[in-house]
Amino acid sequence: MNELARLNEAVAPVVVHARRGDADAFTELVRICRPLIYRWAYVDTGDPDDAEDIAQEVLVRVYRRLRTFREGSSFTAWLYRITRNLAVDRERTRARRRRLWPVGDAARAARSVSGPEDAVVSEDSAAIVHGFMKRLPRRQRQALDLVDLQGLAAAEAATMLGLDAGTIRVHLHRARRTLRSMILEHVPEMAEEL
Amino acid sequence: MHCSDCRHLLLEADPGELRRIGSSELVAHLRACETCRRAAHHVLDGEQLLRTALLDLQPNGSAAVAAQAAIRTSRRRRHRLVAVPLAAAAGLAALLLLRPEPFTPGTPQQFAGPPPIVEARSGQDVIVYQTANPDVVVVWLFQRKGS
Repeated sequence: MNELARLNEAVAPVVVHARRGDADAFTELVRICRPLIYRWAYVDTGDPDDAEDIAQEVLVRVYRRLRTFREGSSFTAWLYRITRNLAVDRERTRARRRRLWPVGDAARAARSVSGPEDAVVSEDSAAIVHGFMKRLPRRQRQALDLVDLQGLAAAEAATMLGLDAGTIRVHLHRARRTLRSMILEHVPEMAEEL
Repeated sequence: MHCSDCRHLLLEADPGELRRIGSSELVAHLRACETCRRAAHHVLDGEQLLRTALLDLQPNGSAAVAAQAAIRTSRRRRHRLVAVPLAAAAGLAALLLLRPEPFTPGTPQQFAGPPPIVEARSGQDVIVYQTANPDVVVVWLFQRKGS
């Protein structure tokens, strides 16, 4: 059973109570799901500040729309769609602002923003995470995270991302190639042969 | 399979194959070749480091505070959703009721037929609307507060 399937099982009874307006149940739901929402938002945007904002907005939407969630369907898939839509909206807003105020974007990039690559202990780990976040485009990061790191089947990941399975596989293979080449770059005897 | 072919395949292979699960040519080569097996291990170790780093990601602040903030924000927005249309309706009603113009006889362009003659008491204001139906005219007689 993959990570998301386990989480779906864990939240099912909590969702029932939270849908009835139980604030404690909603808090418990937040405790369980918030790190995952943040992770998805971070993988999507590559920015920890944006990920924080998106994660909080996801919680607002979940609270408002929990009654519309169909019991029996996948809670994590529903949660992922909300997260992804908010991340897309944020990117659109940012793109509009970039067109109007290009200087602002440069100023933002100049601020030092810490991410998980700054929190990891080992150099190897930091390099891999940095490579994952900076060298893979968004779709490839999403595909690799859902399939290889969180254990979803490609078809499930395709549904969550709103893509067809063939497209997901293309993104996945490209992501694997980039990430694994980078991993093997740090192993000199391997790197020579690739 | 040569090692050079294997190295290219393992860049895109499913993690299961890198763990030598299944019966593909790649799996068979990994079982037989120690060098390529080490390369597969390095890839799997690297992906495990990434998996762990992403699992350890935590947003700032506590879940309880985040939940409370979400509930408050949601309620505030719900109030705004009700208040804004109510305010707009109240504004429109005020605009219609408190228009300052007294009745002035309509010009032939304003009224389809002859303008209506309206008798009002002294101090009473009148507003006359020609509707889209040329036979229907709305007459409002009102008295301002304090007059």
